Amino acid sequence: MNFLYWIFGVETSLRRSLPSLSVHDEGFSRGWTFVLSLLFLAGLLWMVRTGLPGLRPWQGLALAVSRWAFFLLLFFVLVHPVLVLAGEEVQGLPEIEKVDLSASPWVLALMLLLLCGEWWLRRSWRLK
Amino acid sequence: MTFLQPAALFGILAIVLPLALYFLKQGKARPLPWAASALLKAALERVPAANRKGEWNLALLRCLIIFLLCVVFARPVVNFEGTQTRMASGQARAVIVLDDSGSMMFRKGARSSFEEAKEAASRVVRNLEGGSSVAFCTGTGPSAGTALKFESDSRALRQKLQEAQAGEGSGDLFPGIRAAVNLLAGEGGARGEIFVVTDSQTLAWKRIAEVQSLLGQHPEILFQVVAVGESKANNLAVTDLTTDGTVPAAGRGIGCYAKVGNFGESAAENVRVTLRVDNLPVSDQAYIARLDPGKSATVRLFGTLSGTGAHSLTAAIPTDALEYDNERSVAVNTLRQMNVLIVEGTNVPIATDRDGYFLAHALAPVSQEQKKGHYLQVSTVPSSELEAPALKQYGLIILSNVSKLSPSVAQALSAFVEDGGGVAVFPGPNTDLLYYNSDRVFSSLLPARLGTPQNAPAEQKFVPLQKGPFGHAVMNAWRDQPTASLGAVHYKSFFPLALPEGTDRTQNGVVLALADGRPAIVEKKKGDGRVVLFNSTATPRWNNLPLHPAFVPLIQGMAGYLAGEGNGSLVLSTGQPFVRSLGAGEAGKDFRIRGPQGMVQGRVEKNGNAAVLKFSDTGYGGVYSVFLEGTARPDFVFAVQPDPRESDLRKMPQQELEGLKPRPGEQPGTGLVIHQKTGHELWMELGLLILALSLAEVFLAYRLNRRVPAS
Repeated sequence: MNFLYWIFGVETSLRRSLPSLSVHDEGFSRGWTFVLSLLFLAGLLWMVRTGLPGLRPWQGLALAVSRWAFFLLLFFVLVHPVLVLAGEEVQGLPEIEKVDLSASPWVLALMLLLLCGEWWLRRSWRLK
Repeated sequence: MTFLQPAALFGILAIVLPLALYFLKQGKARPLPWAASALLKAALERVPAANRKGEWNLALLRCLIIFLLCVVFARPVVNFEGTQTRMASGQARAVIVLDDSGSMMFRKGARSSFEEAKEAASRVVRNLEGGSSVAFCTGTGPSAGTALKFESDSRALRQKLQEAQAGEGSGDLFPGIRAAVNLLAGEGGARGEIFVVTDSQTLAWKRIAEVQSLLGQHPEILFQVVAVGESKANNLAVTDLTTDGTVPAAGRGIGCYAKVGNFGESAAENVRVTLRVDNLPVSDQAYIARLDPGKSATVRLFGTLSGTGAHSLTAAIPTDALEYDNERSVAVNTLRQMNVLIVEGTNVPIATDRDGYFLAHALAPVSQEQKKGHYLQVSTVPSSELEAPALKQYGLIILSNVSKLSPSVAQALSAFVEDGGGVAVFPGPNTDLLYYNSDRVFSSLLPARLGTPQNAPAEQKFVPLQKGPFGHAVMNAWRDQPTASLGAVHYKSFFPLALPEGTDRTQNGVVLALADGRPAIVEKKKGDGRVVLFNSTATPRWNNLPLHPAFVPLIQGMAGYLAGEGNGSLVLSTGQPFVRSLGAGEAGKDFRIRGPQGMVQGRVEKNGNAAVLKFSDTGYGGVYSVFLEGTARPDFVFAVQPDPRESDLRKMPQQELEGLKPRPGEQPGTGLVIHQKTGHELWMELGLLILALSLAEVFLAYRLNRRVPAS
């Protein structure tokens, strides 16, 4: 949850309070999504450790975390979530703002950035 | 194939990035001659072709991932049925009827069916040929289409469309369609077309036969239904909320019955139902273990009303795609104490033989010490000592075995009811039938004529009361208990009650019947008050009802129903105006109303010698608090409840709507293409493909790196 808030709520985080955030999704639960992505992270870490022995640890970690963030985003958008931000009270009622993550160009841009950024790092470090 | 967000396809341009990275020259390492590497170099030179192929595959895979990612965010939809409706070109006079009923608030993701409908309507406006004139109205509600006129400025019309808001009213598209037909039939000129943008909910088409007949009279008008929204939808809703019928008193717990319906296609489990009083934190909750599709369940919840005055009670279930029906509210006015007068027909020395003995104990079933603090202050008086001026101090008056009343008392009782008071009448052996049935004032109060007392047939010995279910508010204690039975209540003697011919059954009717169907308790609305008439005594002389455990909740329910007559006007349907008479001094003063849509201001109107507060903007369900000028606490609270039928999202069968479309072979209309979103979104399939390709890309890169270590 905090991760999602950090990722998608940056622009509004200054004026909104954390406990008011909630996510509605369809399909399987957010908990399983997160656990699955952690398994992926473990796999990626193993891969960079065993497959790229010449790489410095921080470099391997950067590659693994970057791809893990991509997978995590992919999982979240697959379950079609809607981010609900409850903001300031207007006349006693909280102002509700909804963000459909699957409709957000920012999410697409972020995913493309993560992919291309990782590939650029690989290229810089003379990896495929 | 249709894209819901085609703008995302621009992201495909990012394909150049992996290609650029592929062709980007890698920084060369400085050669360091070393004898052992000569052998390695020779080995590596044998595999460059395989590596190059692998790298090409990797680059292509990366391009494919980016391409698919952009496509999936463009939300492709494959339409399996009714892909397009194409109409011919030419200028037209088009009327767009937009369904704004509650079901249009259904959300898929962040977008509601109504927002989708507005986009479809904008598309219609955009695609109409230049020179066409367009009119637009929201289609449901009694005032639908009242100010319908053609707009020549399409930009202004699109703006108007964007500003339109869905209500929570009950859907009926007929008024809007009729207004559209009247507009098109009344003016000559280019061909007339009607576009109805709707989610096709069955309720909105409840008058489809009338629509068909109307369109049949105007074959020159082209008619097109533009379907939006989901073809299948799950929805849980709070479809009913009522108090348990007892007198709402300050500091006392009040029970509520919340009914939850499942309008989806799958069962719901562990549905949490909560109750809030005055929007404070949840005061009570209950769980419905399982709710099958098409079924409903009722839970009982309790809240405490602190302080006298206006209060609201709101039952809620977890939010779902149709949000507005997940909450339902009622409003009540609590009182500190209410005075109840029992008028006894006879004056006997033995307490248990008195006509009001059982009634008094049922109304205040507490010890003698607790009676002073009880919210119902019961006093008894023989009918011979009853005085007209004394009636005003009571909220409820019960006549038990009273023979007749003096003319002045009868007049005062009539005025008492007209002003909103409640009266209950228990006839008995003393009852003067001629007086009850023919006295001009008193008989006009009674809901039914009393026949000559009858005894139960000798072979039966007694007549039982009806078995459940009981639907009347007085019977709330047995509400939604299909097996509830008052069968153990026996009537030895009773007055047959005959409702007058032509009785308005919405205001007057049977509260409870005997097992043979004859009325046992009847009611009548008179002025602002109400009268309830029983068919037998309030003592065990003619029946065993006062000795039965059901007597206390029945009398409590009756007292709450009669005392709460004013509370009935605090619960309105969407669109029903709130009207409250005020003192003449309040005329011209401002008032504020805080409702679900925020704060609204108004002014108290003058009406003859009195003042009237009228508020008509009740299109949304919820609690409305009324603040008169200079008051910080709400002076009134009322609740608006949407039509529960709007929660049923079932669609009108396609073939029924097909019958409304232009006849085959008829000249089609403008150069408009409407994409009907009846298809299947490829979101999940493409998403999983991206996932698989991303994993493949990771493994391929891993293999290539192992084959050619970084050097």
